[in-house]
Amino acid sequence: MIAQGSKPSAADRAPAVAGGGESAALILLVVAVLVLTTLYVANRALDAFNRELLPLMDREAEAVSSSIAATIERALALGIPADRLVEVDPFLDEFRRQLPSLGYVALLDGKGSLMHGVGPELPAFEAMLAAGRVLRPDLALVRAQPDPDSDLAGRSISTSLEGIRDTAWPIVVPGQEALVLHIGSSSRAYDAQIADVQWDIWIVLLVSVLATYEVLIFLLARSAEAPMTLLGRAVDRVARGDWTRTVAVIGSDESRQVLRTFNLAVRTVNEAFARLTWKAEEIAREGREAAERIGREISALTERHRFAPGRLVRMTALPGAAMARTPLFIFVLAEQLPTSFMPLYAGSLHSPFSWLDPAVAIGLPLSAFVVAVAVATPFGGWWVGRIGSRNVFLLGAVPAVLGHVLAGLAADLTMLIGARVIAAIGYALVTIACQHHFVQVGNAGRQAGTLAVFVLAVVTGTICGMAIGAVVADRLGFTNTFMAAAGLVAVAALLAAWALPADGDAAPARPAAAGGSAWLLALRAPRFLAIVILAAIPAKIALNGMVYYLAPLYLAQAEVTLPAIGRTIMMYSIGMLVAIRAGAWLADRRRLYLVPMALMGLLPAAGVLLLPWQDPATGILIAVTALGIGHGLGSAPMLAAVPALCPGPDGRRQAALLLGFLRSAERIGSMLGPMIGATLLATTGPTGAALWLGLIPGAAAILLVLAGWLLPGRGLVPAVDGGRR
Amino acid sequence: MSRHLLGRRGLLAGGLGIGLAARRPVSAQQRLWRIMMITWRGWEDACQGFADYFSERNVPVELILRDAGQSAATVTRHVAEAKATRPDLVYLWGTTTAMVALGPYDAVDPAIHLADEIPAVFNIVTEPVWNKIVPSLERPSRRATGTLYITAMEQQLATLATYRPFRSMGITYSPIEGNSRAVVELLGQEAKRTGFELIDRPVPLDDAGKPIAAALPGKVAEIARAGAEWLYIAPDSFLNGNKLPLTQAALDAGLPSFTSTEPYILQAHALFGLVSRYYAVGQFTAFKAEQILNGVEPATIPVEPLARFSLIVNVQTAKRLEFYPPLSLLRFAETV
Repeated sequence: MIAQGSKPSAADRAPAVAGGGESAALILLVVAVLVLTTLYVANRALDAFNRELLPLMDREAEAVSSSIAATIERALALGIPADRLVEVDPFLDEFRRQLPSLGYVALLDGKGSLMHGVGPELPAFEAMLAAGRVLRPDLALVRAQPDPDSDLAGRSISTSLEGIRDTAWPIVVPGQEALVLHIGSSSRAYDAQIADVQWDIWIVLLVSVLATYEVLIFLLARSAEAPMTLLGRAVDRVARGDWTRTVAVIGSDESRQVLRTFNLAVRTVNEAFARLTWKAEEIAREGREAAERIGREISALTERHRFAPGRLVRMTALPGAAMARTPLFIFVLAEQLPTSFMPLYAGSLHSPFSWLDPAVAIGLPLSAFVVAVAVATPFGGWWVGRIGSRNVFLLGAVPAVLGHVLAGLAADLTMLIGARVIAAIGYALVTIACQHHFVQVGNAGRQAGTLAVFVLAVVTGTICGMAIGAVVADRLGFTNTFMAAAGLVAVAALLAAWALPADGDAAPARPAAAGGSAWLLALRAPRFLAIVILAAIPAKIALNGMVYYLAPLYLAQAEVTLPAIGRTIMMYSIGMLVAIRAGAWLADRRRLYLVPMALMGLLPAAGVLLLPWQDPATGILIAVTALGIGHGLGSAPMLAAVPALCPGPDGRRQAALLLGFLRSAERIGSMLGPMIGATLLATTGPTGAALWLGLIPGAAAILLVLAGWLLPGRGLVPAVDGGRR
Repeated sequence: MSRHLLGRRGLLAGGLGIGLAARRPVSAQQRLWRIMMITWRGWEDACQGFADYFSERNVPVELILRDAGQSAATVTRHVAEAKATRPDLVYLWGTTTAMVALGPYDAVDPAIHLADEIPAVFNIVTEPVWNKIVPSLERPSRRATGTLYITAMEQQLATLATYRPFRSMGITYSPIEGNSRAVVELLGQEAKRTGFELIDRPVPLDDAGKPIAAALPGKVAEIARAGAEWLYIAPDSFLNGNKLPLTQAALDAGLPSFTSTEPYILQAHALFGLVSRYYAVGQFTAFKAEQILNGVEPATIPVEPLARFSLIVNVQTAKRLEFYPPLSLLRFAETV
């Protein structure tokens, strides 16, 4: 009984903490190696891209030159004098527009003076011409002399002039003045493409680092942390004199060796005790005194130590929070892959709802998904209570896979909506299963911590999925991206089957809070209702209307590439990730609720007000990021405000009821978001819709602040009332 | 454009399929079709295209040639002969021929018109609806169908503007021809719609009510003096008979001329045209004839133009006028 009463929980955790330090170092090392190699490969890829660019530009310039020259030669051959050619500038401009890389197209006479020219870089060309830096026409014309009737290829001469690649093409027709066509390709037109490639590389890098981190945590947890934690628990028992347990041999080779050695030690001690007992019996037969003495010694030993020779019990590893973290991360990543193009995909399908405005029809799959999640979640919660997280996760993966496959194969909008509803059921089941697992494995005092792990897995999965989904869709198309999502869900399910405890953590579901009483409670709490109506619902309307619905449509219309759309909407999650700790700090430490909640509405409003002065890509990027930061700041204080609003002995139960009510109200906002966005898009156009979607939470925030001032009592949320939570 | 071509090719294949497989698999091949061709002013490219279509496809036909020598009375005589000899089909060349042979759809006289007794195809016809040959292009609704060889007026004027935008245009024509009156009316509508000035100078008639050819150069000069930037040449039989004096007068007056029919530009000095090649129109008409011979009801075969038109520039005229086509136009245009 030596160790009895000492601090078992600290001892329990000790090896894990040590392992944690080492894992941090290991993760850091792996991530550093990954970052460096990706940077190196990215650098080489861009080098190769640039090397390919010059010959490509020359080939394009040559092709355009030959087309232009062919028509001019025809005109000259028909006997139209060179100085009487009609509408040369519009003709040259037609070609220049076809190839955005063309800085100028110019026609020079045989003496080298400019006859016609178009393009933004024309003044630069004229300056070079005046400075005598352009290829002399006689030199260009020499190329054309030997055999003017031969194949056109090879007639051009390309030279690099101050960042412009000039291609000179001689035009020689017998009996007419010789002309030289000059075409200037500027690599600046490719800058955007290069920037896109660079961005794609950064996104891939970010996603690989985050994914590697998640997978490493999982592997470390399974191969090192879990065996060490198990050993720690076993050693702790031994320290308390309990020699009755061996441990399950789990983890990597080294861990298994350590655990085997421990088991060997336990068995050796137990065998020694068995031999001792046997010897004691032998000795006891020799006389009463000896028997009593040996009996005293043995009982002194068994008082401090317990043995179980021949009846050793095997200890198994406790389920860790990390075990569900990686499957959840992969699942959420898969679910978010189509986010950046879902409205575009919906818009590309035939809508059988001819009576609906197309903009509204496009929003239907988004709203249907939210509604289905809302309906399926309580059912999922009940089911987890009966059959355990692992089984619900696995069962939820089936509709999720099916939903993605069907969405990818959708022939029309109805089928896509059906597919999204099926996927939503899967999403609801899997997320509730993971949430339940985290709650169950978290020690009583660490529930908040494990739930933070849940939120973190969802947010990182969202960031990775949104960003990489757009890149994948840009390369492989929409359907293949849905198939990739289905594949990833299957991987997540396999991991969950392998990692989540099979014995089940089923626990009777808590008695569901009666909806009616939540309603009554909410209706009797005007402050709470103000938060729901003026903060929670507008926030979700803005999120679903702007980020999930409008941004992809608006940006695609402004001819922004799909990867750039993915990056833009990813900024919501990044903004949220950056701000969420600040929001929690404001609520926890400064007891500030109203200010961050108001910022949650005012920031997106400020973001959209900048829209008219920006190009669409930048404008939406700013608006989406502002929305993310606003939500990051406001969401924790909003949740924290609810318990703060429920003083009194029954506060905890009331807070739980009201939080449930808040969640349901948020889902209504989520469902309304795409519909409101669609209606605004149909009536006011994309810029107007974006403006309104930002101004709705902004206006609501102002009303919330007014409500805070006007409601009798101590403001919207009582500032005091510490300690309760 | 290419989709139209494909569609047409599919149509050709479809027509062939019906002819060979569904309708009369053996007899269609073996039977000799008798086609009476009534022409207005002799054999030309459209007739050649029509005849070649059948020989290229090995469809045995006997062509019975009857020329009207530009006389309506002769057309009526040929119609009477057709009704007596009953060929399988009557081919009608030209607007007047078609109008005389078929009569207005709402006032058919069985005594002088074909009157649905024998199916007919027409080509080189201007404004068949305006001229009451058929009530609708989509559904001719009588035993006659045909082809169009002139593009819509709107399209012609848009094409003309690509050569040079204009604010005024002149036209001279024989006031007794239905074709020309139809074209002048359509031009007037377009002039009102798009806001250009139409200088309308019909050729005077002699005592016999015939247009006076000698007055033609004077009318053209008058149009030029009135400030016209282009001369529009209507598809008019009288003008067609005076192609050279007409276009030479325009050249002398420094007036560029535009035409919607081939001969003015190929055989005279018109500057620019958006035209259907007569030969191709003839082939397309033969395709419709074959449909009728294979049993398709003419009333249901739409009257259509070719999917492709040709832009033709007469470079010699352009040089003499020093009025050159823009380079963008030269990318696509044929030159003669």
